[in-house]
Amino acid sequence: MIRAYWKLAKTSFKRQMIYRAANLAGIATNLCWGFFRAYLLLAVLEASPGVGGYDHDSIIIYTGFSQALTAPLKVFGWWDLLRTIKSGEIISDFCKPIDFYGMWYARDCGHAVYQLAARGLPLMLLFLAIFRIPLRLSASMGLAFLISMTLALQVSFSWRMIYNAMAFWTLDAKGVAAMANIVSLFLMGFIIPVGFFPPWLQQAVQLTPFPAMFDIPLAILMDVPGTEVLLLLSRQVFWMLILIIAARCLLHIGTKKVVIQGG
Amino acid sequence: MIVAKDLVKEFKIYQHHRGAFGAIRNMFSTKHTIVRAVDQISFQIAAGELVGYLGPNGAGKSTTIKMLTGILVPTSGELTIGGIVPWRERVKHVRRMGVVFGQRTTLWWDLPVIETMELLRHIYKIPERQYRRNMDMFADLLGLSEFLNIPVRSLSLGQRMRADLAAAFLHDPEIVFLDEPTIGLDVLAKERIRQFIATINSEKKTTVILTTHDLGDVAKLCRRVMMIDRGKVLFDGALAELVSRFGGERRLIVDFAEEYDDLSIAGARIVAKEGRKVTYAFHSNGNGVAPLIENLSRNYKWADISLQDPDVETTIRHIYEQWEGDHSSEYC
Ligand SMILES: Nc1ncnc2c1ncn2[C@@H]1O[C@H](COP(=O)(O)OP(=O)(O)OP(=O)(O)O)[C@@H](O)[C@H]1O
Ligand SMILES: [Mg+2]
Repeated sequence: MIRAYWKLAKTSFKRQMIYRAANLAGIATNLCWGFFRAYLLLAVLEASPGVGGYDHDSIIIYTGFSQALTAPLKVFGWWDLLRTIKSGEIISDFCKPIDFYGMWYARDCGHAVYQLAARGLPLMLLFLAIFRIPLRLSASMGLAFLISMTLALQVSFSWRMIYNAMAFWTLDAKGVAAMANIVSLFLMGFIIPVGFFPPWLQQAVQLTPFPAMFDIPLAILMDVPGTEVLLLLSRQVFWMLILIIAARCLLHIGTKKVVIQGG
Repeated sequence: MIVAKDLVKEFKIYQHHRGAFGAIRNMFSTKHTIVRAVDQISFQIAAGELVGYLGPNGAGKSTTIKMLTGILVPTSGELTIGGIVPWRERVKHVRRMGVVFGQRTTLWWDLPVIETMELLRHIYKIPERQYRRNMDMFADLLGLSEFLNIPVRSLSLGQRMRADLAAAFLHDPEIVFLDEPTIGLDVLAKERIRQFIATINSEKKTTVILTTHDLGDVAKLCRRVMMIDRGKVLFDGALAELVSRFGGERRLIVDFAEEYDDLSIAGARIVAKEGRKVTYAFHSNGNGVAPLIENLSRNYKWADISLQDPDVETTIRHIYEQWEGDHSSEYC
């Protein structure tokens, strides 16, 4: 069975390779937006120095990192599952002896790995090189970052499954899902750094799964003094488990509904 | 192999509200009507059979197939397939089953056909040799190799259907459900698919249940047919029996040698007249055609006579027309 998931991930990876030209264009777009966002945030920094504990270099790392993750985190929304539910195609997935969540996750992994390797990483390096920002990361912090990144993508995946699963219950799921996506982007610190939030919101956000999708690997990457890596990683693991359970429950109930009511 | 007893499937259809608050009202709405798509059907199908499942639009064929595949739970009734209740042990059931829904593909839309097959090989854990053997066989019977590297979304309908069939049979399932596998195909493509189904059924002893509106499929493939209308099975038996029981009238076409004013003969009625060529219809349950010909010869001079037995197509049209009539009289 593992072979099947491996194959699914590989196929999804290979599929991305077809769109090499689009990929290059993507890097260019991400870069442009990156400059724009970087200068905007630098202007904010100039107006209120030291805001959220950021300085010039960390603003650049932040923007580079968030631009690098636009594709793997499916920032512009991901509706594949939602579409198959609405169109009824989901029925053909039920006819295959494979775990539903696992199937989608394998495909997501293939996609994410490609996007990170072919788009995210070059973009990040390019960005840092242009701004001449050195990135000092010890081997152990590098490892911690990799683990944290993996966990972040997995949490993001479950979250996306959850908002897609809304399609089981409402015809207007796309609207709800788009809302959920925007809210999560904001709360995970993708749009502006969590450090820029008002204090009460910063505290509130820590009680949600959203920082586990973006803010935590970012913190590890920046190696903010006093970062308790193990604590951060365990928070991610905690949210990963919660969201996996939630997503699986929703899929289970949704499937039941389709199977009993006929969609 | 398949034992179905008093299967019932009812759908609740909720009223949909439109407008700004429609979505919210829909969530709480409990107003609904109930549609009985399948109404207490019972049947048994033995391993290796090839059964045609027929009926007019909306009769409940697809709904039955969905219950058989385990993706729909019946409202009531019992169903076991090879000792398993499909929806209770879905994964176990789908492992030994294949399915094609002609109306939509079960393949991954964006992958080339070969990638889909490779994926299925892993999902069903098909041994390398068996996979090779089947792929060769499908290349032969379905011409699969012509479009192995094309993504499913760019295939023509006929190619897609062939790919779908190959995918359904790839893991040598014990039982395969085909819901309109020839829909929208040209004559040659249909022929090829029929040939494929017939070959697999006879060589691998795969049990096949097939729904179709194409009576050529039925005539070519199915010895046994089940006919359903409004959720009820109205006939279940040999195709030959269906034709002889419901085929209705036979036809006698006579080319007369001279002009006559009155051409009516006892025991037959005139259904068409074209110059000297007259078509009579008569019931085959009597004494056969001999008395009619005797009668004709005694009274008229004729040049040529031909006899037409009802074929599957006319038989089934006949049955549908009768049902149609029954329904409209119900409403009167
Ligand atoms: N999910 C559903 N919700 C509500 N009603 C449904 C649903 N699926 C089917 N029906 C209804 O059940 C009845 C039987 O439908 P079904 O699709 O089984 O017919 P069919 O015999 O396959 O017809 P066709 O030849 O047109 O494919 C129809 O009246 C249909 O409207
Ligand atoms: Mg149908």
